[in-house]
Amino acid sequence: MENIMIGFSNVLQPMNLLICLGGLFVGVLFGALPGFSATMAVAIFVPFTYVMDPGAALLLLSALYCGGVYGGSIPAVLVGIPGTPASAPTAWEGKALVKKGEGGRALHLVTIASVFGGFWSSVALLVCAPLLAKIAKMVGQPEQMFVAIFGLSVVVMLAQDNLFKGCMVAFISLLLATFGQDPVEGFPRFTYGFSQLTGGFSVVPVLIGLFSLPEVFKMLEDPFGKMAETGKVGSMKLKLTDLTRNGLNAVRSTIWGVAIGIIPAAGPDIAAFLCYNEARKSSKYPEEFGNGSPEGIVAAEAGNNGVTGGSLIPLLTLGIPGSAPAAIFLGAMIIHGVRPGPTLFTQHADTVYTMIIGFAMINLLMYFVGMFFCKCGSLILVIPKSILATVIVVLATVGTFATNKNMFDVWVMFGAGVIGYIMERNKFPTSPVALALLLGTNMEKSMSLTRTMYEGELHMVFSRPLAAALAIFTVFSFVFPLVKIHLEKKKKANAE
Amino acid sequence: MKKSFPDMIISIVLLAFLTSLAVQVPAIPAVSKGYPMVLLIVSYIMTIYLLVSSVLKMKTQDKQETKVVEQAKIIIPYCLMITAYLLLMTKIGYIASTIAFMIASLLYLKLKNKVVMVVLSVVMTVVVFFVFTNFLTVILPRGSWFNIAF
Repeated sequence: MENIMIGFSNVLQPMNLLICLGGLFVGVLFGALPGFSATMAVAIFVPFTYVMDPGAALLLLSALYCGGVYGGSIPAVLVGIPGTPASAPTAWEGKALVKKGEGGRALHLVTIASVFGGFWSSVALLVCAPLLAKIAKMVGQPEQMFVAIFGLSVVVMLAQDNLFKGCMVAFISLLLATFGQDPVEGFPRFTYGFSQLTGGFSVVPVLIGLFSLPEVFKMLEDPFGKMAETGKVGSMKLKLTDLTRNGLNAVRSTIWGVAIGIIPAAGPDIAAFLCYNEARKSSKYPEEFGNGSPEGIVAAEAGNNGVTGGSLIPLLTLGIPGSAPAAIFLGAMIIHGVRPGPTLFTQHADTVYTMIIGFAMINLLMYFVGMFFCKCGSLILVIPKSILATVIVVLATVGTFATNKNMFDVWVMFGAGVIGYIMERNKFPTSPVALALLLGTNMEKSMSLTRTMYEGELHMVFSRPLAAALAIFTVFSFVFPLVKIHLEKKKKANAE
Repeated sequence: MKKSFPDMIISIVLLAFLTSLAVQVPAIPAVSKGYPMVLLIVSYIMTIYLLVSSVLKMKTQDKQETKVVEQAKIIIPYCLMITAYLLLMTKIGYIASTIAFMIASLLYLKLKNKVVMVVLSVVMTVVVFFVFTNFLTVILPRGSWFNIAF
């Protein structure tokens, strides 16, 4: 309780509130702009947090993340094109409401549902994370090894569309993570004679390049193309039925969102579709779905924003980043000396509670920032691609330079951007790179120490109950998606 | 271009990269090379599999029309522009190189409004310089040729 009060007093400091508001403005802008995303916003702004204290830095990144996830729904409603798969159900219903001249009402519903889902996911984070951290305290080197492998199994789930390429990218990225000094003996490996590589690749420049420049290059594929025509916003007033019909729907969708967020790699898109389907099944007016159903919008938005807090639970307690933005969060936390894991809630209690309470505050502030953006949403969407592309290149360059104050990192960022674009064009997933670079070193270290602990008798690792349980989870997380893919293929073949 | 052609090129490039790593392995002490060796072997096997499967697929695939050449004609010069920007940053400093890059980029991408082009380039460059220098205490490159950047 004392830590929660400290968190409150930190968040309510004027400077921190300003950081939350600023982060939200920029985050919503990034989410709303075509081609931009919450991941890009978090990646580009990590270097801006270096001079901040860890609490303020995490508040800024949280605001960018929440704002980015919410912002993606503005073009979904006004243009009818979802910026991310998570906004697809919102786009179906929102576009239908825009056609009826009720764009403002749709945006208001999006905002309220997002705030609701996001706020209660913060409460879930506040309640669940410390409980899970107590269990995580039993983690030793063998368990850490399985946690890292479990974290990497996310790759299998993230790359379901192209499992082979996903696994291949993960293995090669794990190899990249071995560049520089060996984590146990300190011997430099694969440096190509560059002294800058003695410490290995700096993760933040790679992530900035990987998640920002490919979007710029995609914009260049059609740089002179017309921006999408936006629908009119109109009145923002809600109907009474919008509130009376959606209470249970919002609560159910938020619970689903949080639960899905906790599962690594099961991101906001799964939550949005699942909640949308559940809402349709239990609705008294299923015929409205597809024709501008407020229930559909509320379910999808409460669900995908519910994921934001949920996805931070495994990150904070076990250090498992379940998504690309969570991986960047992990990188930023390590830079600030706040390493996620079982000891986080004791060693850095003030920082972590500031972040969690801030997460709730950010979601409340999002209502006001969101309403502002909804009113001028159609203006944001007409910014020319030429300006967006140029600004991103400059921000990515300067932000990367600020990471270690050297040009080598900037070249690494540029290289990562070009490689990331080639990967995306040829259906190689990029998220495994982030996961492997972040978890690779830890995995090698814990494997090496475990081998030393159980000299030649590695099977003894399974005499530790938690290690055995984690091993089972790990095997399950690798096998489950494979079985799922196999069953889906079989189902398709039968249908044909 | 056949659909599997890019995969074939990518796997050849990856094989060259993996070989450049394999060459360095003998110089690593035995205690430090076990883990990367395993990763290297698995990566080799997967890359060779991709190469073989893409070559086999190419035999049965018909040529497809793509916009790769048209897109490359826009993207490659832009990449060269970024390369020039990064090289110039260390030579003429952050401010001069960034203003030059922004104007060149906006011209290349055919922004029509010339006033917006110049004002945006100068204002953004100066604001970023001010924020990084004063709030983030990051000294941006000043340039080795001239000391333009203040």
